[in-house]
Amino acid sequence: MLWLTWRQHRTHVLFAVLALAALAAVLVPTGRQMHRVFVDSGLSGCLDAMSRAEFVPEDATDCGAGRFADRYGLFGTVAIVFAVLPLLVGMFFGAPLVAREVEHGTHRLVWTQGTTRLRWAAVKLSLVGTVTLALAVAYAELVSWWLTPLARAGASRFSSLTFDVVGVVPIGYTVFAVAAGIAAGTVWRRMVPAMAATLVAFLATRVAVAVARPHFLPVRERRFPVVTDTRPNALLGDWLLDYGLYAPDGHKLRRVYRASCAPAATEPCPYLPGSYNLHTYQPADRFWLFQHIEAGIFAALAVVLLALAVHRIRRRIA
Amino acid sequence: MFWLTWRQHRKETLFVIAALAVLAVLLIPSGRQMHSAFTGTGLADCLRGLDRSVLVPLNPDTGKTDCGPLLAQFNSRFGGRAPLGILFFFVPLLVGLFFGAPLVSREIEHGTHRLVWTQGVSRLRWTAVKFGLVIAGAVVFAAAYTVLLTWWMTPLNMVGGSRLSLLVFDQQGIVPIAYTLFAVALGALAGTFTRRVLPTMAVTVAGFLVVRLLIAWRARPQYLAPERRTYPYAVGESAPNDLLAGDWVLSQGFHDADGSLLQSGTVWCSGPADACTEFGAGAYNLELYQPAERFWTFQYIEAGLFTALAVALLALAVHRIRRLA
Repeated sequence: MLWLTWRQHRTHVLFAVLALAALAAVLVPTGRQMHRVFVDSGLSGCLDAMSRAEFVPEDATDCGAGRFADRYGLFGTVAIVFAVLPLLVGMFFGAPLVAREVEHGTHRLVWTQGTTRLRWAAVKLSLVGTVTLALAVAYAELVSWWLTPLARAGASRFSSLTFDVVGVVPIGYTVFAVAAGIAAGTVWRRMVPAMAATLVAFLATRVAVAVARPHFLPVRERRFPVVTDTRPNALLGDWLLDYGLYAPDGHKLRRVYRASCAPAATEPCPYLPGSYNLHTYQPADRFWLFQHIEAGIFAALAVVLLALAVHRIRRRIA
Repeated sequence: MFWLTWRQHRKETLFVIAALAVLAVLLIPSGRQMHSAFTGTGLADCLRGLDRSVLVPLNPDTGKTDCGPLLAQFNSRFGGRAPLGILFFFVPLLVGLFFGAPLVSREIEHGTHRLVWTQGVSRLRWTAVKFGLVIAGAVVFAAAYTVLLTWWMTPLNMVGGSRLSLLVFDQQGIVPIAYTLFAVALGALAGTFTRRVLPTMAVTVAGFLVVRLLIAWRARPQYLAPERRTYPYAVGESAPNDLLAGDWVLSQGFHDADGSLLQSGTVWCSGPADACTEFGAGAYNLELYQPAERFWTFQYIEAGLFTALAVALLALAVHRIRRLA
């Protein structure tokens, strides 16, 4: 059974390894160059040494982070393409796993040769699962390394284009996509519909969880007065969810990042006395917590889908 | 044969219509909101009346060039939506994957083509009807979603740099239709080689991504020779008119009077001329760009390129089907 599964999937594995190598061939040189500029321009050292205070003086340096982010902004855009890689793995590894056998009737041959359904399912799932996991870890590590300078120089690692392609969440997405593909195959039993179902299920779940993401933990608030000579420290990398100028009675006047008057200014401050700025945010140090929560959600969904798939293989497929 | 092809694809057609409906439900309300904010705040009029010269005067009241506050307001509200358009990069690929790739490969994998060919339907007629119907359906779908998306993106185009830039150009106008046609043709042709559904789909994904990215990155900037423009380091009481002209800037460099490159990017100094002498007299910025009004020319060139590729792939597919066993 092990040998059979390997024979059935060895071209897949070869293809996946080639794709990973092609990805590395693009990412390693461009990433090395970006890392070099990041260190040589002094940006890395400056960011290490910069203030961790919540508020910094008006004229505090941004270390040239903005310029760096502008220069490599296209890289960030390209990273969106990586957001679909888990889906491709689910469609091409997960969906055909059962659907292809049932569509061609080849499962019957195995089941009538003394291999139980459970053993058949266990070997297939564990082999494909292991390979998927190894690929996902390799790919997630590569992309995380590649995006490090841009994530540190950019506004926040929480921004959806960064959060979704680095850390541990790509592994969660990949495992989920494969499980969705396998489960879809036990329900639709033909390859193309199973792949289409995987596509829809993956996109719908990803969007739903991404919408819920800001509320994984209670948001924090940062209030600061209008008359001040400091500004919030943008380099902390907090995930800013909402911002605005509020009247003293607490209703929102305008959606602006920050309204301010210098205390020493000679002209009168145009804002209502006592009005304040309010930012709601998720602090930057919750990054890994959020990564683990999101990866956990997708891993749990994957387990449920796999249980469903095993159940259907044992009871429903003739 | 028409009836058979329709029966083979009616579920997929239903699926596509549902997808279009979902897309319309998502895009129409948010697009109307964006359009009304765009015209309602006066931003549309402000941008229309904008000075298109290379250097624009500094606004004496605020120290910023015109339209700035309105633009910042619009961007803070809707700028986050621009990356969503990038998701549509994959729509033509999906059509190629689910309609193009199984077109021939599924028949061969299951042997169903033999049944049809031995019932008095010639290979050529079989191919013509299958390809014709599926391609017509794909083009209609692509046209529908492209019209929707082009309308949705109009305000974002006007405020967010150039319509010619990567991943903005690709989502609107007529090129998505050509990409879709190409993806379907690629899938159909790949099926005549690999003859099984799954490898055909994999080849379609890889082939589509490689061709699309290579053409977008390497060929597109060179469809026409880029224009050059220069402006001096000391710009006096004005500022470079950087983004709002909508030109696609390919490279920017700062040169000294002899023309040797000092650094990439632009460097300029507003104020009295005698305060801006750091780099010597005659230092200038040089930009290579594709003008905004070439948008439709580039659309026709790129759409023509992909349509020609699609026709070539389809001709090869027909040739191979006539030789299949």
